[in-house]
Amino acid sequence: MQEWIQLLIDGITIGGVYAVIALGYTLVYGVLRMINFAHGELFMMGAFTGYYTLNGFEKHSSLNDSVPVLTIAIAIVLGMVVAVTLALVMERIAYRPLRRAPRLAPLISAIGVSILLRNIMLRATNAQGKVYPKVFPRTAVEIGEIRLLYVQIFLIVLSFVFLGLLYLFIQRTKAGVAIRAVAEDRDTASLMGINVDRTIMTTFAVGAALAGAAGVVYGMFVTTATSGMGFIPGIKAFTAAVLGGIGSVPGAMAGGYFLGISEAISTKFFGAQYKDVVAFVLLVAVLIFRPWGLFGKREDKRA
Amino acid sequence: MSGEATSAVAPSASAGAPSAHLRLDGVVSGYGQIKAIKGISLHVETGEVVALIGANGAGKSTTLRTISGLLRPSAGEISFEGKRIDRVAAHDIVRMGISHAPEGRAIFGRLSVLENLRLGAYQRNARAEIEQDLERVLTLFPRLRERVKQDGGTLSGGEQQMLAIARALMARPRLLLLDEPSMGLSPVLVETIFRTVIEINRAGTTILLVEQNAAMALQVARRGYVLESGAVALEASAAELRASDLVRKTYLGEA
Amino acid sequence: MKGSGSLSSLRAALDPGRYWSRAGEQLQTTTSGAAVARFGQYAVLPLLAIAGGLGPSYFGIRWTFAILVIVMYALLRSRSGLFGMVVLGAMLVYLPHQMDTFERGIMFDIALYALLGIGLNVVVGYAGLLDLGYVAFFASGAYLYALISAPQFGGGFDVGTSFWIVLPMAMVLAALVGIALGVPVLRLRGDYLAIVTLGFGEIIRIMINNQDGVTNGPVGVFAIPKPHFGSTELSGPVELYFVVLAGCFVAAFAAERIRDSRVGRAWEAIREDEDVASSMGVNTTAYKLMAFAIGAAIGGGGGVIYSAKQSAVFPSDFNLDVSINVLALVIIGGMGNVRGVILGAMLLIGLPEVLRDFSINIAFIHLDNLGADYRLVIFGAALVAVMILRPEGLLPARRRQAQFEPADVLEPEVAT
Repeated sequence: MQEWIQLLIDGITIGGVYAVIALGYTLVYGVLRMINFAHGELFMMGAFTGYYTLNGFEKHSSLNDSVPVLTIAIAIVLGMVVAVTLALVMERIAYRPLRRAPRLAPLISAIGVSILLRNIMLRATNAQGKVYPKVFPRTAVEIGEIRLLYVQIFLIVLSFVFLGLLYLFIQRTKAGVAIRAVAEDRDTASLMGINVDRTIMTTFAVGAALAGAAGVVYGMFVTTATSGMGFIPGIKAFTAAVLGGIGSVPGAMAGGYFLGISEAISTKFFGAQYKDVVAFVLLVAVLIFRPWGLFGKREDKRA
Repeated sequence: MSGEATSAVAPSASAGAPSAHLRLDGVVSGYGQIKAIKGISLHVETGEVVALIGANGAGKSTTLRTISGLLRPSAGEISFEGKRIDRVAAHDIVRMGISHAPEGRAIFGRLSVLENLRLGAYQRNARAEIEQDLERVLTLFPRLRERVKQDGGTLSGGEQQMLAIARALMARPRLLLLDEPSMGLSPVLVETIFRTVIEINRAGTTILLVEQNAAMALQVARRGYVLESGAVALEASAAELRASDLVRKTYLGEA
Repeated sequence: MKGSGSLSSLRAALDPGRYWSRAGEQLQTTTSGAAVARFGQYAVLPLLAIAGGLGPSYFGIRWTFAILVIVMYALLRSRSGLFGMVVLGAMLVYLPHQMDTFERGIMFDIALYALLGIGLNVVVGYAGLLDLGYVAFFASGAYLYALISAPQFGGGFDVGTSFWIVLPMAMVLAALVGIALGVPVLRLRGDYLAIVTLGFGEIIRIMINNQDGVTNGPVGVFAIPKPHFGSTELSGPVELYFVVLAGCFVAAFAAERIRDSRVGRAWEAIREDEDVASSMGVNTTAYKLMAFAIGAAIGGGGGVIYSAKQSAVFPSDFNLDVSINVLALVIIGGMGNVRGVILGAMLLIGLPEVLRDFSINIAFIHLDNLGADYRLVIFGAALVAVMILRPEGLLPARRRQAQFEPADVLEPEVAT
């Protein structure tokens, strides 16, 4: 029983990360019908920003020890800023000119951006992973045999907070409604006076902010940042978005946790090295049998 | 019912007084290389209801989409209240006072009725006024009031049409472009919709109406244009159009 | 309408390649002798690919390469195959003897990637299916040969001949793997397919890595024997390079023949608009599977040759970068035609090797080992740039330009 609870907690931990990243895929897919292949790299850039920020505080001050809350908050905010900036630049340069191009073109462009960012960071770091300074005590809360790292608790709570904020943003704010309107019908949205270009940028920015923040927190959790770290979580998060029905915000959240928990449980049966395989099998299975997602309702194919 | 609706406005037959509310001059537009309208000139005066009638593919919807900025004309000029708008983005044209209720209703099916209506007022900021207008359109369309919480997609065809018109009104337009408001509706509903159109016009909104239901459109409108394969084939007062052979044979189905 | 008509006739008049291609089409429909001539025309293409390492003793490798790429670009563009064939045939006989081992290695790599590119081009270029897991087929071929022939697994086969038996076996295996993957996913839309194949490529690598008992895991497989041809052992890069070259030759010929057949027209229809194609009665799934299988078979064959050349294979040889390299050379070179793939292989595989230790020092920018360390940075940027500036690639296929013209003519509505 305790083992199962442990697996569940581990699943929720990583699932929260997937859920937060998945929102970026699902939002951008919603407005542009495009998979932003470079989204995982925004996450990676967030993780590096987090490293450089926290490492800077570590080297030049004692703030990491005295007020870790402040340095972590600054790292997260900077991670978001960097990711948002990058996302806006890539939208403007690599995607917007291709808005009317055939489907394959923006997809290939996005793959190009992903390769570019990953390899720039590979060179910038000389192919060396960056190890985060110790901000959180590496100790764990233990309840019976269940172990929970402090950073893990932080990660779980923070994912809930981000998901909640995003949900409120999408449901309650004018910009959120505009995003949903553009996702549904771009032309009619512009007849409402919605600036479609700006709304698409907002969408990219919101997704990127979440990915950047997730990168920082995930970096603290795994304690390292590497240029390739966005790749697998990126695909996993995409899987989560598909599991939840791509384009659906609550679906992406649920899909993230579902995937995280499935992975955690699968390690019990197949071992940790096949965890990635499990995600892909799930992805393929869902795409084949329920392409509209595990939780969503079947909708008529739209143009 | 139609005569009273428009009698308030003084007739101005001169095709294109400089004061025209909306004016199209030799407008060519369409999708890519395919030009659905090939040099259309028309004008709408303040306070009028003007009907655009014509068969499927005559270019009626394309004309409206070009006015509202969804399509960019490849030639010609469009001006509204004296300002050129043919190079203005669609979302800015709404701000200038033109609201377009597009063909096929095009409401947001996954947004609630209330959200749809509020989107109509997206570019406005005065909150109190928006609430006032919301009240006004819900009074105009009591059916919608019962369904404000529902998703747009769950409404019936007639309700969706009402929502589309109500939403367009939420922008407080000075010119309302209505595209096929009667499409797919039962005769009773068509009657209701057109009665509302008249009410809207009486309240001071100029209307450019696209209709296949020419009989209905010409009852409501003061003037009309007949479009044929992307060009204006005939322009006259509604009464004259109703009497003309072309309209009677082709669009009113009379022998 | 009138204007565009006269413009296109003007372009036809200015572009000698059009005449050639028209002549080629006529030839094809007339005699079987013409088919031989056509075969000859394709023979030039793989030959072009290897010229990357030529004549370096004269000008130094960088300049030679630069000149060759330019000359070749001109030749490929105009499709003056005959002239190019004569020139390059002579170079082919003569120049490998002028090269050192490193340069021969480059030639091998260019030709190998050209072969993989020809295979992937069938999938991406002809059928319009974005496959990001092409490495899976390459890996399956490489490991099949390694496992069958390497002594650490008993080496039950006659080492001397196993290569020629394994080669077709690997191609069949890869094709089957391709079909097994294709059956479930080919019903999906293009972007889903991309990500599923991407995942699939990773799964194959993870499996090879983890199935220690079968593949020796991350330690890899060693002492893979070289193939024999008659009694000669094909041991050096030059000999194996000739094997790849022959492979390119056959694959390019076969691929373009298929493209010009009924199958090719079905692919074209699917690429332009799948819904329309299927409503016209094209069995889209079957044709897509065919493209997948053919592409996979070529990749599998490439894997066998790679395995033989390297003498050792490791799971890490088959990472995502391989798929990306191949995809990039197909797209940048020019999707949908073999000439573009050849040019792509030269530019993307040859050039970085030639510029391996090239350095840039401008103001505060210091980039060392440009070709070795920055190639993927450049590929990434190039993919974006090509999509925006020249989406049909450097050498566009003549019939496919329409696919990358603005879509608003065909799809006026995004949604209504």
